[in-house]
This record gives sequence, C-alpha cells and structure tokens, in this order.
Amino acid sequence: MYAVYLYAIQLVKHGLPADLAGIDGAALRLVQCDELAAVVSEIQQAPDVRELPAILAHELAVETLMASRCVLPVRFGTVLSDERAVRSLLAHHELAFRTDLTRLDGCVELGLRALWRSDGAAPAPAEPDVPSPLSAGRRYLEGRRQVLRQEQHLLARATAISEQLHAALDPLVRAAVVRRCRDAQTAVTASYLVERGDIGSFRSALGDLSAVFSEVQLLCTGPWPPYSFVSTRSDGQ
Amino acid sequence: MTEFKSQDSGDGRRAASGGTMPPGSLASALGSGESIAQKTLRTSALNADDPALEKRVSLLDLLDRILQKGVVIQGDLTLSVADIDLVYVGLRVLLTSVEQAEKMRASPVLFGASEK
Repeated sequence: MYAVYLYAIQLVKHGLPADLAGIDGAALRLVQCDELAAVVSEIQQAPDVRELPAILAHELAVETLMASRCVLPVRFGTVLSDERAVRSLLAHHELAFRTDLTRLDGCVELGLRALWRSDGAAPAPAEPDVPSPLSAGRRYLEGRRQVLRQEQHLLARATAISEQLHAALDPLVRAAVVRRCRDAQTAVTASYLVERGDIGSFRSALGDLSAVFSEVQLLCTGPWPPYSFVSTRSDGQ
Repeated sequence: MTEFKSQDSGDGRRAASGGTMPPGSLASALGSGESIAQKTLRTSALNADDPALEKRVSLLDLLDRILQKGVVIQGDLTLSVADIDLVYVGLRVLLTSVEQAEKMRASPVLFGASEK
C-alpha cells in the first residue's frame, strides 16, 4: 500500500528535471490541478524523522527544483493517502499557493545567526551586595532575580544588535523574520527573503557588519528554499 | 563512511542519488571526515573561525526550516505532528554539540517516542 509524499508546490508549466529522486530513491512526479502541481513520490510508510538521510533527500530534491523554478517547500513528513487527496489539497489552497508563488518568485531565503563571542555574553554588571545572611527562600528568590536580570540584559543587547542588522539589511531584502534571543549562545536568529540578484550585496553587507560587531559573530546559511515565507499553515491561515 | 552519494549536477548544485544510510547515521554525519553535512549544506561564515560550529549551525538552520516551517498541512493526513516536534527537539539537542552527539550515540533511547 503506497501513500504519497509531498516535497513542494510549483506551477505545472515548469515540469520536472529528468531523473530527480526523492526519499529512498523514489522517482519524483507531478500531481496537477489546473496550473498548480505538487511534487510527490510514492512512499511505503511515513519517513522516519530520526533518519537524517530522509531529511536530506527531501531537502536536496527541493533545492534541485529551486534552482530552476519557484517552489513552495512543504514541511518534512507530509504524507497524503493518495493522489486525489493531493489534488483536493491543491484545489483547496489554490489562491494561497498561487499568490505565494508569485510573491516568492526569484527569491531565496538566507539564514542568519548572530552568536555571542565568548566574551560577548558577559553577565550584567553586578549589583551592590544584598545584605547577608539570607534565608534559603530569600536566597532562591535572589538567584531567580539574577537569572531574570541576566536574561533582560542579554535581550537588551540582542535588541540593539537586531536594530543594527535591520538598518543595514532592510534595503536589501524583501522580507525578514527576526527573533531576538536571551540565551548565552545566540543573540539573534533571522531569516531573510532575498532576490537572487541581491545575494552578493547581502553577503557583502554582512561582511561589513561583521567588522563592526565585536561581541557577536555572524553566520549566514543558505540559500534555502523560502521555508519561512510561505503563508500556508496548517489551518489555512 | 557515507553511502549517501552526492554529485554535482550541471548547474553546480548537489543532487541526491537515492542512497540509504544505516541507523545512527545522524551521529556519524556529525563526526569528523567527509560528512553528509559538509557535502550538502552550505554556510558562509563571515568571521567564524570554527568549521565544526559552521556545520552545526547549518544543520540547525536546515532542521529549523524543514521541520518547523514550509507549507504545513493538517487534516486527513497520516502526518504525525507531535512526533515530528518531539524528534525535532531531539535533533536540536543532538546538534547542539558534537560532544553531546557522542553521548547520544551511546544512548539512542533519547530518540524514543516515549521520551519528552
């Protein structure tokens, strides 16, 4: 009994590259509904997400497609019972898919992480000593207060960094999803929607920023399929 | 080490050619030597001085996207969202450090569905 595994949504007119394989080496094919097509392969059972090869096979298939057309990447592990279910899905989300394919055409996603350098996540300046001795309860609360204070401190500095990133990168990107962190490793994680032609300028802007930032190092990944910028979520929001 | 073949397609991108890997390959992919991650994931480190860090970040970025983002469909599907989220957490823990990966290779039960 075979089920249908979904990789991506694209326009029918782009077709498929020859001999493109997916999970377990299964051949990819298109299931179409009007002008929209889902890229699928047959699968015997839902892939085991503990196995990196299945994840990479999914990603590589989508990235291969991404090189020659706009695709909406589908989240890993999406399995439908049969082709009819796939066509019904395409019909149900037709407007959202078509809008996204137009909006994301010619764009890729770039990932960015600003990681605190070893001395970057230095603790907040010490407060004047609280009178001792403290009771156990008071000591606990005092400890909690210090942790929260440190988090606030990190968040404030992450905010400053995200503002600098925004000022420098905003003109170069179509859209951005930026998350400030409050942990000792990561200051900011971000995803940027960038036109293919702007990838070079984006990277060079990051290079300039790197020279400015002494407390974080910037790591840029991608180009990825536009995972963070598709609008179709579980309940059709 | 890896049986997961990778080849350059005409446009310079890597293409998968249907390989399979033995269980535990996630940990081995994180080990030293030529790994899947190196072959397939791209990071441009701007001022990073630690290649192992770059590799982990690249894998984390992939997992963050492929397991948490993209077109998400629910309904009459056989997709088990809960399991994916659970394993996602496991994978993240695993990728957090290579040292941790070594520990988890020794105790694969951490991936078990009953663990939270």
